[in-house]
Parts: sequence; structure tokens; C-alpha cells
Amino acid sequence: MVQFVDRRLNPKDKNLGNRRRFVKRVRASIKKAVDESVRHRKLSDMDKGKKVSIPSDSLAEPSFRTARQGGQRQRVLPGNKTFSPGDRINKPRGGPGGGPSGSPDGEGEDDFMFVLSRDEFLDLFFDDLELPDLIKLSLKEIRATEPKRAGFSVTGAPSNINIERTMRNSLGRRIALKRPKTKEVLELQKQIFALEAILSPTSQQRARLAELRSEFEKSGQRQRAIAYIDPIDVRYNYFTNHPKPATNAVMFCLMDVSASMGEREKDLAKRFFVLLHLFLARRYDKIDLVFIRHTHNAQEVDEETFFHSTETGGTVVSTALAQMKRIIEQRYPPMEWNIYAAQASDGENFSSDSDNCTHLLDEELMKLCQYFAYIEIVDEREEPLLDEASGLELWMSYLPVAERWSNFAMKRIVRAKDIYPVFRDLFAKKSEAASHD
Amino acid sequence: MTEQKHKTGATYKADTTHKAKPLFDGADWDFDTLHQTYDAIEKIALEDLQLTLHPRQIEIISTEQMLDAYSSIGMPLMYHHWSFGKHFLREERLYRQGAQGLAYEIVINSSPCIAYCLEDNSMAMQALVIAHAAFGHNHFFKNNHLFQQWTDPEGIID
Repeated sequence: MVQFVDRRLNPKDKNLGNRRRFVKRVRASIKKAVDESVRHRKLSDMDKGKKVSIPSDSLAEPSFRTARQGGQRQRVLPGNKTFSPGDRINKPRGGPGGGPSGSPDGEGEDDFMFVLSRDEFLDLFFDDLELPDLIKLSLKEIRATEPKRAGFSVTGAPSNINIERTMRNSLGRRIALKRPKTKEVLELQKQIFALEAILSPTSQQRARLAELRSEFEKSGQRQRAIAYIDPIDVRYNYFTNHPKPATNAVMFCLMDVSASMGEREKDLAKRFFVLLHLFLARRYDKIDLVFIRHTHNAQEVDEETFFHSTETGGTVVSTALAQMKRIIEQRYPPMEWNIYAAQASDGENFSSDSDNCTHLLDEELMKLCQYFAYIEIVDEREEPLLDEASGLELWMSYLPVAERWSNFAMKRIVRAKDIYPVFRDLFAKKSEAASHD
Repeated sequence: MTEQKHKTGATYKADTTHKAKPLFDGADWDFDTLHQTYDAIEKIALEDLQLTLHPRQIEIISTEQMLDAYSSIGMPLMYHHWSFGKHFLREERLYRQGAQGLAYEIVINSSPCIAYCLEDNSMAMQALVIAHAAFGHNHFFKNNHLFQQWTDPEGIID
């Protein structure tokens, strides 16, 4: 007797719960690895799964074993020529042998490597950004789709039942199968009652009564046999998911790379860019990234250079804005592209240049941009000294711009969790707009 | 397989008059071939070798399920613990990198005796695995003195 069972179609991820437990347990180490990789990964690769390695000593499992010292033990030592039964052997002296021992399965004490899924990676990435949960969810959503009506189906959820269609089908079927109407049956019954009420019926009336009775019975049977609403009548509204209309977007990343921008500043800036990119990736099919770095003059560079090399020189911010304007004119006609810009700086600017910046933004760029976000990365020690209304050169000149244009956002950032508020308006506005669609 | 064919020939002389057709050729398997091959093996096991066996249940599983089974020490049911997650990740990495192959089968000493066969096995391998696990181990599970004394094959699956 044999039974073949095909288990391949059984639900996968039987181990998912255990995996979650594991990730939770080593969260601190993974978080470190994720932060490290945020520094090295490309902006557009950020929302993919990621291979991380964590030190294996955080994964040691407790286990029972016999103590090395003390206790009584009896051993069988086969094939010896030295001892005979009853001999007493001294216990080994000294502590347990030091140093890590080789593991039996040949795996060294390397780091423990495994691949984080996209969701797990983003969870950890969002960890200290303090995003509201709803935003986290919507950022993780891969494609925005909306259900659209696509006719009717014979299967579906009870909540989607289309009553009109169902009743129309039911009526058609009842007519086609000649199901007696309730009204007719009641009429028959009434006639029967009327005839029965006659105390001394004639033979004609009696025959009529018998006829009516058999007719009444037949229609009752027919009614029972032919359902009022049959499962085959039922129709459900059918929906298919359509991707939301999305077009192209270009994201400009502008950053001051003069010597005052150190590793910490660049790291924060990168998180800021990543967040904007994630947000855009959710809304647009195709996103172009343009990196413009500037000192006293601006250059378009690739991502690697953008984040990892420093330049020496002064700081003239308007060069970057002018470069951005040029690139828009050359490659990204605003009719076809949604233009987003994110600028990160430490707030320094060549003093007479700020008017140029304001002018460029007011006259040219803000009209073309969907959104312009500016962050000023400040030192933790400076934080208590600054308030909204005062600040460095660039901050002061951008303040009036922010007042004039609702799609201009600016914020000082000290820690990673300060980044999200820059986007708060952007997210709020867009999700509102989306709910109106 | 040649050995088995030889044996079938010896036991069922009537068959030898026909030109014996191989049970399968090629590496691919399907459930029909599995059934036929199983029947042939069963004949040898029961009539030729006189094995006494628990009922057989052969389950085809994917590599991922095999890795799942690895991390829970082959137990069909197991409590949840983070260390299983860790073992799974390690086994999976080793397997994906080609550092280790997977077991061709896992067999459980229950009644019915469950043998998990990996879907990646070739047909010849499946035949070997069925003969080995579903009959060999099975016979041992049923007849071993200690197993008889200490295990409850019917109760294991609950």
C-alpha cells in the first residue's frame, strides 16, 4: 500500500516565523550592517534585498554538556594495552583547553551572512527616521494600483454581489422555465377556497375544484423545483487592478562638497536623498537621478563621486542652481518630466551669491519644480544656538523663498530623525491628492 | 537498476519470455513512472526479500521544504525558536553557494512510514531512494528490537 503526496504546492515560508524571531534577536547587529550599507549602496538600489553579515558571536546558542572537571565518569576505552579493569586514571589537570575549537561542519567562525528581504531592509532603514507607520507602509508598497470595474463575474466575494444583475438573471430564468408566479398561485388558492366554501357543490363545480387542486399542487411543486434565485443567477462586480497613471520623474540631488561637509554630513544627506527617492519610486515608473555637486563651481557627477569624494574650494551655491537649470533645459522638458530637487548643504555660501540663488529660484526653478527640499545639516553643538528666524547666509536667503512658494521646504537637520519632517508636507499633500483621485 | 531488473527477471520467469522494457529512461520523472517503479520495487521487497513493512507514504518536496526540514531536525512538526531561523539561513546559504548538497530523502519512523523525496532527484535517484528509504529503513523501523520496544509509530504523526 502506498500513497504518493505532492507536497511541493504546500505553503512556503514555513520558517518565516522562525526567521522573524532570528532577525529580531540580532536586530542590533543587523541594524549596524544596514547603516553601513546605506553608506555604500546606490540610491536607486536602496529598496532591494540586501546581503548582510553579522558577527557570529552574537548568535551563540546555549547548550548542555558535561562539565570538564569534577563529577564521576566512566569510560570505555577500547583497544588499550596499558590499563586493565579496576585501574584508576587521574583526572586531567588544569582548566579547559583554551581557544576556539574547529566546528564539526567545517564552518569557520566567520561572520554570519544572510540576505535580508526588501521589507526587512526597509524596516531597518526606517528605524531611526521616525516615519509615521502609514508612510512606512506606503513607501514599501511596490506599485500603486487602483481597482477598476471590469464587468461581472460568476465568482466573487459576497460584498461584491451585483443585485441588479443577479435579479435580472433570476427573472429571465424564471420566465424561461415557466416558474409559476406567487400571485398566480395565491389566485388559485383563493378560487379553491371559494369553491370549498360552497356547501352543496354541483358536479361541475366539484370537477373544477379537483382540477384546480391538482393545478395548485403542480404549481407548488414547480415553484419548489425552480428556485427563486439560483446560484447560477448570481453575478459579482468584477474589478481588476490598474496601475495608477505614472510618468517620468527626474530627481536632482544638489550638494555642497566643500571641505566643511564631512562623513557625518554626507551620511545624513544620503539618507535624505534616499527617502525622497523612495517616495518618488512609489509614484513614478521611471526616475532619473542627476547628481550635482558644487564648491565654487558646479559639476554633474556620478553617484560614486557625489558621495565619496571631496573637493576644495569656496562655496557658491548659485552655480549648482544654474547648472540644474541648464540640465533641465537640455534634457528634461518640464512638459514631460516631473522635476524634484533636493539640496543638502551646511549652510555656508559666498556672501554676495545669496541674492543670485533667490533670484534663480524665484524666477526660474520654482516654476519648473514639483518640489524643492532644502536641508541644512548642522553640528549637534550648534543646535541650541539656532532658531527658525536666524541662521547662516543660505538659510536667511531661502526663508523668503519658502514663504512665497508652497512647494519649497526647508529644514535644519541634526540627526536622522529630523529628516522626515522636511517631507511631511510633500507626503501629506500627495496622499491627499491620491485619495481624491 | 540493472540489479533490480535482473531480480525481477529471476522471480517472474513468465516476464522473461517477453523482451523486458525498462521501467523508465532518462532523468525526468513523473508520477506515473514513480508508481510503476514503486510497484516493481514493492514486488521485490515483499515477495523476493519477504520484508515486513509499515504502510508507505512517499511525499515529494521542494528544496526549500527540504531546507525547512533540515532546520527542524527533520521533524514534521516543531515548536518555534529563533535558532531554527538561524539554522535555516545557514543551510540555505551553504546550499545556494554550492558548498553542500541536500539530502536526497528524509524518512520518518512513523506508521504510515513517511519518506520525503526531493523533487530535484533524477528518476534513477528516486527509484534508489524509494527502495532505500520507503523499504529499507521502513523494514528496519518495524522490526528492530529497540524500535519495537521504545517507539510508537502510529502515535508519532499526531
